[in-house]
Amino acid sequence: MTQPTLVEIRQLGVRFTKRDRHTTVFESLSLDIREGEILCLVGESGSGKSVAAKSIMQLLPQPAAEYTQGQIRFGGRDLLTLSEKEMEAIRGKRIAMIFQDALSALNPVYTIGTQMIDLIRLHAPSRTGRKQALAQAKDLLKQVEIRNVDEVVKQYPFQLSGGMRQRVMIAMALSSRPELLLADEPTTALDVTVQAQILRLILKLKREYGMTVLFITHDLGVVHEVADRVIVMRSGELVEESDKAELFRNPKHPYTRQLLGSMPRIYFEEARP
Amino acid sequence: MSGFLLEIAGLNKVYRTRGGADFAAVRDVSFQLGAGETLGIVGESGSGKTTVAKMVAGMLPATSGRIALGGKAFGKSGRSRADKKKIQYIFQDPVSSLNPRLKVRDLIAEPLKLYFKLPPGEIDKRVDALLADVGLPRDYRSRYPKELSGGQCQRVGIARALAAEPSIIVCDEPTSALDMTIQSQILELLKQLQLQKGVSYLFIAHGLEVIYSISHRVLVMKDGEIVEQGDTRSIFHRPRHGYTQSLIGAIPRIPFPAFE
Repeated sequence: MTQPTLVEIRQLGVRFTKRDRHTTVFESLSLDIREGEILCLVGESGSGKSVAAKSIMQLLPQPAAEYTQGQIRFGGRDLLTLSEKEMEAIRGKRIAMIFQDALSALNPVYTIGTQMIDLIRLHAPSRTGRKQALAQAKDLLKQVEIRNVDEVVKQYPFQLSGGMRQRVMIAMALSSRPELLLADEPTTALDVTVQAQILRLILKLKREYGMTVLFITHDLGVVHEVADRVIVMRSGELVEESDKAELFRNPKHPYTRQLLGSMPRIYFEEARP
Repeated sequence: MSGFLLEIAGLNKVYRTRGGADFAAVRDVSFQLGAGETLGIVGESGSGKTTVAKMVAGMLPATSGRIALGGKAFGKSGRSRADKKKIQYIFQDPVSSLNPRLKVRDLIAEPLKLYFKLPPGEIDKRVDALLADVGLPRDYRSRYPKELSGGQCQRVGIARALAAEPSIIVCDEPTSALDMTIQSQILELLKQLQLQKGVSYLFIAHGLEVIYSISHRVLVMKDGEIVEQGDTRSIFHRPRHGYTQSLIGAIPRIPFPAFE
């Protein structure tokens, strides 16, 4: 009952060079992302979880970052062998990414409507008029459960709350109907009640559109809410890979146990209503 | 005369906005903090928790209200050095809250020189004792902040606060910028130091798990007001106010793994 694989990372090596000093992030990282799943990459700072996602998007800073070996296979091709032009047809289209800091990811001097219209027209196969694009933008905003879409399209990013901005980011990511969404700590900067809403939204997108999500987080509580499968990383290495239920029931690696053990926990007597 | 160490009554902070309208960041906040106790303040961004913390620490003037330590109210005109010494502060960002040009030794010696008249040899001895208190090796005294990890910088921040021998330390999100495993070490350290020294904490955090793990009592804030306060167990297990219920309800619940 294993779903087909959407992304295969094989023996990926990544290193950074700064003033002739090399830092190896991955010696050899291999992992699969399966179609329709939410795969959580968990780890502390420096574990390489963000670098893994940025490698897929090829968003690592050039020329500081170097792929020393390996492949990233997506849609029958190795992304590492594609030209920048070929990559542009994938980045932001078939693979989209959302970030922790939605405010700095949005352009501060354009309204949400303008930014979305530009993006939709960029991705549109044929000529799409501004009016038509605006209608699509509003549709997308409704899909991420924004109610007052007519107001929001006229607003600037600074006028929106953190949760609303993250919804707008997700709506923009959805505009090209991507097969894969890379979510890099998308709820870390949010308050707990807003975090819960965004997590529910991501679960809905998976359920209703069959979207595949690579979800990066350091928070095991978040993992427990959204993950199908979990990969625990430490210092550029895959420490443990497991189904969510199994990970929480029976963590095998000592580091996973240490992570679980170091979580401050609330001892709730009763189950969630 | 009540037995509380710190008494806050009717505290307000009002900002005048550009349009001339008043914005009340903190409204009519009252609470007490006992000796050796940890009072947690939770609330989402903009709830006023840091504003309360800064007013208590004397870093921000209150618009009105009473802040009394040991039965004696602080005056409007600023605090004496002796008063400042009694309430210390630990910051969220452990790295940028330390002067990058000072070595660990000098960072910790600073409050010692400010608040005590000590011979140089005694300062050195106290720096070493404080390093030991916060679990840093003695040879860290000659390091600079940039040579330390985030968790180690926070230990230096805690040593600086302890150096003044305060009766209260205001902890403003002291573990929010740290990794999980480091966060739990710092929380353990703070608990231990409280047992050893009897210091009280006013502990601000938006992470509910952190508040649960360290607080004896909890105060829930929303839009500048206290919506509920009580002992930690009753706040988390039997929240009465609708807002507290929605906060507690939003916490991801994880079953306990078999290995525990």
